Amino acid sequence: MNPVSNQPTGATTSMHALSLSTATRTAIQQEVLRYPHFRTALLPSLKLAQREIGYLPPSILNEVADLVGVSHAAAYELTTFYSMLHTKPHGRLAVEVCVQLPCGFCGGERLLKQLEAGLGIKPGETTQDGMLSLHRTPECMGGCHRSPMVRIGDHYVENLTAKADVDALCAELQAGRIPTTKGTLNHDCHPATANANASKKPIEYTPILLPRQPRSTQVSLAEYQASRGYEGLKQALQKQPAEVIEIVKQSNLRGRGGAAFSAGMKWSFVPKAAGPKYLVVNADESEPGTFKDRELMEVESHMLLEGMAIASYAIGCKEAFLYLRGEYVEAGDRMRAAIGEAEQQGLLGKNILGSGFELKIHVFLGAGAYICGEETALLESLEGNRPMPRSRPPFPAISGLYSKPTVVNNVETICNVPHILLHGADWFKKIGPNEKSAGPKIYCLSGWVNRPGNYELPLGAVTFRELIEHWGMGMRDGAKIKGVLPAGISAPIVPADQLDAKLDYEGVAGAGSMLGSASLIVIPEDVSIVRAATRMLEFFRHESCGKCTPCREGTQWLHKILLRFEQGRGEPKDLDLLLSLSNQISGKVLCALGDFATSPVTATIKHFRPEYLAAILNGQGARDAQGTTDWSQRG
Amino acid sequence: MSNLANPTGLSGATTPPPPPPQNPNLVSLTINGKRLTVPKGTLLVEAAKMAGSEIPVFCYHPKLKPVGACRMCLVEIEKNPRLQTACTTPVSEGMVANSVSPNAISGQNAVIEMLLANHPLDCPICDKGGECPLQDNTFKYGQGVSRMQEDKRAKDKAFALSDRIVLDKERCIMCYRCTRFQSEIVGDQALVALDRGGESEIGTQNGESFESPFSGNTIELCPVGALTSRFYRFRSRPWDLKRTPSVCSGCSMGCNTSLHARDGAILRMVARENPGIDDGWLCDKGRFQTLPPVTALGQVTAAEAKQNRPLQPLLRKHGSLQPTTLELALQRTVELLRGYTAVLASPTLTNEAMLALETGLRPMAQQSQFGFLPYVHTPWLLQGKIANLPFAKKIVLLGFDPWTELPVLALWLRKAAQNGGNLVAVGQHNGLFRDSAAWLSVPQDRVGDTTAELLAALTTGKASAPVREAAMKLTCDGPAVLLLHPDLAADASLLFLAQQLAQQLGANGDTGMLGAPALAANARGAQELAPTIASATVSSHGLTGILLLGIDHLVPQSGAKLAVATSRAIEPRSDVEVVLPMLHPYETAGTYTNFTGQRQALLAGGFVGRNVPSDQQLISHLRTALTHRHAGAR
Repeated sequence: MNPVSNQPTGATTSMHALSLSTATRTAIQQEVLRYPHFRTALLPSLKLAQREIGYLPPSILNEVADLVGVSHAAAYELTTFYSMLHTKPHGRLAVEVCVQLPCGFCGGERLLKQLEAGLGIKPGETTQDGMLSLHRTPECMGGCHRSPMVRIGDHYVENLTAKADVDALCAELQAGRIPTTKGTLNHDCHPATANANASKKPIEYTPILLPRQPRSTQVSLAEYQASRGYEGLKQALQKQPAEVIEIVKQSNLRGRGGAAFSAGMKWSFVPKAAGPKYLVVNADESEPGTFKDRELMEVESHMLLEGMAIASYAIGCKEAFLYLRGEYVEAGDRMRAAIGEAEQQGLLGKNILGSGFELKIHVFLGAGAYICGEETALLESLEGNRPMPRSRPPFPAISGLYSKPTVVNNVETICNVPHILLHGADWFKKIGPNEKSAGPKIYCLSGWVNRPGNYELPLGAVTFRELIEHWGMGMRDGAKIKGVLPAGISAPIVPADQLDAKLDYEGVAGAGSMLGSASLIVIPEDVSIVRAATRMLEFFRHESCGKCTPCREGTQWLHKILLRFEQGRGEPKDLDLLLSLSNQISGKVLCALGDFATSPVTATIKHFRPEYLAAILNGQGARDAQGTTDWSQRG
Repeated sequence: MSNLANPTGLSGATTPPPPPPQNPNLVSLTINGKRLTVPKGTLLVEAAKMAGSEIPVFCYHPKLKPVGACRMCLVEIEKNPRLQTACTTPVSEGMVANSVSPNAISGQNAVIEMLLANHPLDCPICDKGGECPLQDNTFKYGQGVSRMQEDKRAKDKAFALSDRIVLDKERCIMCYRCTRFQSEIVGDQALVALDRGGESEIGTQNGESFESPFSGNTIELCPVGALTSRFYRFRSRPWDLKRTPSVCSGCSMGCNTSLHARDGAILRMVARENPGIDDGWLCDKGRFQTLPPVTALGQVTAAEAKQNRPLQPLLRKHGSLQPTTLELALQRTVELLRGYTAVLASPTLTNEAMLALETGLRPMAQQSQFGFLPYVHTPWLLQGKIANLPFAKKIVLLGFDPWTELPVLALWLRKAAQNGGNLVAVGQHNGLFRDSAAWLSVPQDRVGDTTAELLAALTTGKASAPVREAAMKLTCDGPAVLLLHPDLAADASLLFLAQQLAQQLGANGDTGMLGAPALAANARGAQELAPTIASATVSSHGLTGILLLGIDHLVPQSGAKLAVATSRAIEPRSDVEVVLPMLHPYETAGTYTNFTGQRQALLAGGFVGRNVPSDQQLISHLRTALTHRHAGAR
């Protein structure tokens, strides 16, 4: 290591003398005063410090710890947990290439190879001048509909399908510039291959949550208000909080984060007694193949704010948190801007619309940890602790953030709320074929389809096949479908012969899987399922928090065995071991992540056992149909 | 008496279901087929103990908040599709739990297999082998085979966390007992978990030492051989140790201990829980710094060779200290005590020695000054029990920092603060700053002024803003505690103010605690049993001879010739005329009185040879020798 060349730009002092500027110290001191508890400021403060220094060496960690008022070790423990915080020098422009599903087989690996060649560094390496570093990340970054993609600092560069674009990217990077985001139009993902012959859609539907598609620019307050924005809030404020809860309960709105629990019911669990209560909106959208909350926040920011205001009013919350995954910097900035607009118009802040109701919304960004999507881990993260799931009971509604009653809802769930208040529970129930789980649902469609994207449809109105054919414009290159992962990589794969199942909770369950957050990753026939499963387990191994034994040890063990299969070093009896270990993890872990981690193994073995056996035949390893041994030729 | 064998009268299957409990604070449930009634809120893992069933655990510890991390305690609960962790599940009425069903056993097998997947299984060279919960649970609940053919994780096996504790990162099973102890019980978060997932490990801020006054407790909490004591490491096997109950001589807290000796040499001291005194914890000073030097096993390291303590009397002859007989050594000591001389005793001597000193030795050597080093007399004897502390609502510390002076007392005060007690500290140091409602940080010589101001704030309301704010915290109802540093208590005006403040707060010994605590191990015993000596001040000027009794370090060179009775190695200084070997408090039977006045027994935990007298025996030998001198003189 050359300590001089690894110094961040502008830093001329030697390593031991590193300290924070007055501006950063002041900013940290403000963070400490911002939240109900000082410790919440620890993570934002570490990020502020890293923004200035480039990484977090011991002297800086200690300085931040002292400013926030925690032990030095506490700052270090947080830093080492989150993948976006670095204790070692990191390229000033760190180029992170997603190789998780679907990016991996949609050009991500090809892109990584091209960047290696173009930048002259291997993954994990930093250029001599400390400016550029290249990273292969098994962690999805929410750009699946625009894959392949990279993240460079706070910026996403997406749709890097053309060699010319990659070359241009390399040139920009080598000149020390961060290229601006490319290809942000949702319905314009793979225009060259769009299937012009797609037949007439099976249903006609006017979107409610994403009414302005295709669009990537933020909807202003004026524009939102012009389409009856914040009228739902006005309606709510004229009612008693209990009435609002009852309406939402009556609407049968079920949580869109994956668990599908009745939102109104969840709100009704919050004790009515006085005292602080919190609404926390889960925008830690980290499930591979999921990118709906990102679009909602970037475009329909005010819809989310209005929903948060109504939910807060209903449960008696005066201070709400929007917890975004650390990578969603753009969405976070837009949400902060929208909050500013709304506060200026008296739609947030003190005495909202003259009703006496007040609400402060904090936008809080994580720092790279899938586990924060688990609601109790998210609360731990907000409290400045290592984000590890809590054991339940107590449930957050009784003892959540700072041990106070807390409702945690997904972004999409909350975005439904203004419409329910505006149009009524009965109107909402009529959306879709099933009153019991009604309403609009955004399907994130990604993978080997011609037109991946967010498609809002009535919950359960279409089947897998219809979604892929009519909204996804069919398969790329006319490929056959091997299977579809319906809830990101966390639910069992649905094989090609079951794709006529309806896309609602019951329909997908009937096909042996779960709808979850409805993030459909379409895997083409020629992709090796062994490699796909290995890649998925790489994700779970990388993202396991390590709190409970079966997940911490089991995910690594499963991944190690799968790696052997991928490399052709397995025995048929190892399949039984994989299934047995999955059984030892599933149902014995502390949180759902551990259960999720086993379905890529069990379901792929169930449906594609011959492929596993083929991989170990003569030690040939996992091969795609074309005989390739990795995905660098694809996409 | 026919139902003696079955005093509950229950006989299993034929027993009709008991009627619903009368008491709403009780819950009836069935564990492994046995029906029992336990207090509401009991955790299933604790209820199982009452039912006579053992549910295996690693992360669970009765003194730490349950986390459900290791998953070892998985049990089957009727009507619940998933196995549940007994350590996080409170009992409920009618619950039927089973820890021996095929399903529960498969869960236990699974967790053991996962825990061992990356565990090095180096039991033959592990300190913990023989007293290791991982070993025990593997034998009882594991399958005895591994299906792991992958390489195990390789990690640092001897990572020095501090100069007291060594971490074997491979053995660690991430139960978080140690990190939870530091954050929940101590509150300093000095030890934390690092990284995540399979790479998780425990550690400190990069490059920093694990510094906490209580760090040694993590060694005892560790359910595997990951955290080991640097002193004990590789010194013995658990089954070769003789275990003797004793009391720590580190300070006047009186924490109960167990001394573990091999072949007479005390190799380690561990906590022996006394819920009214130590709550099961020891501080590092007591645990690591009070043990007598190891001699019986011979010299293990050069450092220990230097520490070699004398086991037979030494007499200065031809300019050097040479072995002699006890009679000659005593004779020389008695000669030395002629004229203008002093006897300085350690307040760590046993009560029996104190009494012998006051009533036996002192009257025989009236021309000598007698005193304790350090000075132990406190003009305000402490009242109150330790058991009162967790319920205290108002706590005032005047110039007294228990964090360093009586560390385990600090943990009790922390408990009070967590129960809603308001702690106000006045003085230069405050290790409990995290738990303080207010800390009036002033130099020790200003404690008196601030105390006066605090008193004024409470009575007339006249005080500066910070003092008024602190006083506000002390206006609540509830038991009060006021502790004054004994050194400051010598100042009569400050003592008076402190007593007035205590009265103002309503502090009393029945519900709270008040006084200036004696700090040295048996200082209170010294004051009670040797009152004349305890209250005497010794003038060191112009002394011709000094007898040091049990004092660890020599007094500064002054021209006086020294006779030294000790259980430690001594500096071979030219003014040392006689050395009398003596047993360490841990090697003798006797009693100690702690700072609250509670008397506790010490038993001999180590053995260094028949010829070495205890403190009490040595004093009575000296008395005999003095008697002979007088007789001879007459």
